[in-house]
Amino acid sequence: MARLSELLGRSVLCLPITVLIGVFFVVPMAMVLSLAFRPYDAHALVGTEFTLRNFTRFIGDPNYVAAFARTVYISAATTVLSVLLGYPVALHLHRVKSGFARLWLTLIVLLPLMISLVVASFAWMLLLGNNGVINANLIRLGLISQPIELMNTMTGVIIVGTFSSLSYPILTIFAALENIPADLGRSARIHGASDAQVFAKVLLPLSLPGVISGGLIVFALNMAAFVIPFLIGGGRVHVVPLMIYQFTLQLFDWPGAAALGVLLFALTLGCTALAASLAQRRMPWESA
Amino acid sequence: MTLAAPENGSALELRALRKAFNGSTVLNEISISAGHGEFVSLVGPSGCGKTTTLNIIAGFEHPDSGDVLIGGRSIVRTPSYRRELGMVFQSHALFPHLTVFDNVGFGLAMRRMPKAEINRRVGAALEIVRLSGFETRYPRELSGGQQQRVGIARALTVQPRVILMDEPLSSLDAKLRREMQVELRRIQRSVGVTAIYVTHDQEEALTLSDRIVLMNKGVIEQAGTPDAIYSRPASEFVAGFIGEATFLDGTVIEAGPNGVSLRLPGGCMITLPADRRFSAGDTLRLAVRPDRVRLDRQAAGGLDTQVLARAFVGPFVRYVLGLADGTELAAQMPAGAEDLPQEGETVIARIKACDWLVFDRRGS
Repeated sequence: MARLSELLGRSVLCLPITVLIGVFFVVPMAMVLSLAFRPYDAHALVGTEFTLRNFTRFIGDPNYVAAFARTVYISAATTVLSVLLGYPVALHLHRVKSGFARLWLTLIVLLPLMISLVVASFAWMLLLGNNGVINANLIRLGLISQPIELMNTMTGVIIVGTFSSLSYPILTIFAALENIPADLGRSARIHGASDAQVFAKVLLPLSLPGVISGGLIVFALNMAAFVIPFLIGGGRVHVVPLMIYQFTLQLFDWPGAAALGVLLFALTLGCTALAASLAQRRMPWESA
Repeated sequence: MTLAAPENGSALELRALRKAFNGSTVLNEISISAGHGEFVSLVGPSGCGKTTTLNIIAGFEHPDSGDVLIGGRSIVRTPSYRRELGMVFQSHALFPHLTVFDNVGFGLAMRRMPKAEINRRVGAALEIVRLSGFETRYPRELSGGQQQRVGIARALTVQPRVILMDEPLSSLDAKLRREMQVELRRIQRSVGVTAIYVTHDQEEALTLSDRIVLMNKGVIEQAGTPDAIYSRPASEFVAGFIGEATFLDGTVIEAGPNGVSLRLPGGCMITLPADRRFSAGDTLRLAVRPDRVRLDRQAAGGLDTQVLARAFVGPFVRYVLGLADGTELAAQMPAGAEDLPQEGETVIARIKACDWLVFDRRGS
């Protein structure tokens, strides 16, 4: 007991959350992990012997590989769009001086997080459908003659995914911009940098950590996203979380669902680690 | 490095600058001019307007009225990045994501100068600040003093018409600061660049400057050479801010062609050179520098005082003397002097008539 308290030291205050995570996260995850190595049994649902077949049947099947690729593609596209659309908002928020305006802008930025995804998805259905607001108006303006397919497509899922994720990169990029000392901008300007150059040579590179962290959050969230592909994709956009849902609740193939979950987690982790290490290499001033 | 600016006229001229923030006046009719290659310090307590003045020269802020001329041309409407200035910041403000080379060459890269020219100028600037060989380091790998030298090199490479310095040494420790003062002066002299130096440290201003502009509450209290400001302060504020001084009130007993006789607190009499402004009964504000007070034990023609305290400060011994009524007077003697008075001793403080600084009380 003495050695345990030594080990924990001041971190003893973290004990409650450690227990909570241990009981409600690590244990179930370990159970899922062990489940992934058991065979599916038509009678007992889960067999007892050890097997790798759950993994080989997905990795070897082009349909499943395509679903994984689709999931990564949707998440990556959503990430890029969120960062590109979020950056100007973060920059504007950074440049607003009045504390009152900042507060309201921050609240607006947080709005997408305050609305239930189910409700937001339903609202988006009204916008994106073939007879929805967007298509109806484009047709009325004469810009298109046939409605653009947005519902039940990857495009639709990416659009709504971007909406629901936008808050994260705005906040992380805003925080990164706020952390750049004002003197750096001034010193760039006085030594000959125009506004565009100050942005490209000073603000942008120094806010990269915020871009990266915001982007990684969006990517990870969308890799695991269920509601939007389910409602906006309308069952036609097969992503891994939807398949896990099918395996769990429709096929009752829990070992298969567990294996898909493990693969999805590994893929997310791998992509994130790759992106982070690439980013590190682009920012030599951060390490060394 | 050479400067493109013409040699006639002043390098920098500020004309009647006015600036108010939220209705409170920060600068009130500030006019300053600096000659080519001159080192001018803006000194004053915080809130005196010196930093605002520098920011207006830099173009970070705009005056409500007045004009800023560089080389005879108004730049008040020119954006910062076209003013061809260099600036050294208190925070160093080095770009953390750029190497020393890229920091120093930043201004040249922004001007899209050819690589070879950038290499040449960065090399020359790093040599001037004695940091050759540090090109590939990042700022966080450097000490505070090295960082500030990179900051100086960065400001020099653009061959500025004026170099602005905003308390560049105040983030360094005392010893390094003194070294860097000498270094700064050497660099500024060797490059021949006009420098505007903002500091709240009067000692630093005295050491570095060709000319000091002492500001207080948005106006210029006095402008002049360090020697002139130190020995002939125009006001009580100047005497108190630049160097040390003991302030006393003296009552004029007699004012005539032979001089002005005054009675000091405690009853001592002194005679100052004749001055028509004063007449019997006036109360004058007087000041004297500690180094102009000489102590000896011969009893004639001085102030009778008692040593209340003494402190050894290396090259000097500092004294606090008490006049008969308890009024205190600071004095300073070379530490090597023989037979220095001890605490509690009675000594005569001699002050030459010309060493008294006299301020008309009614005027200040």
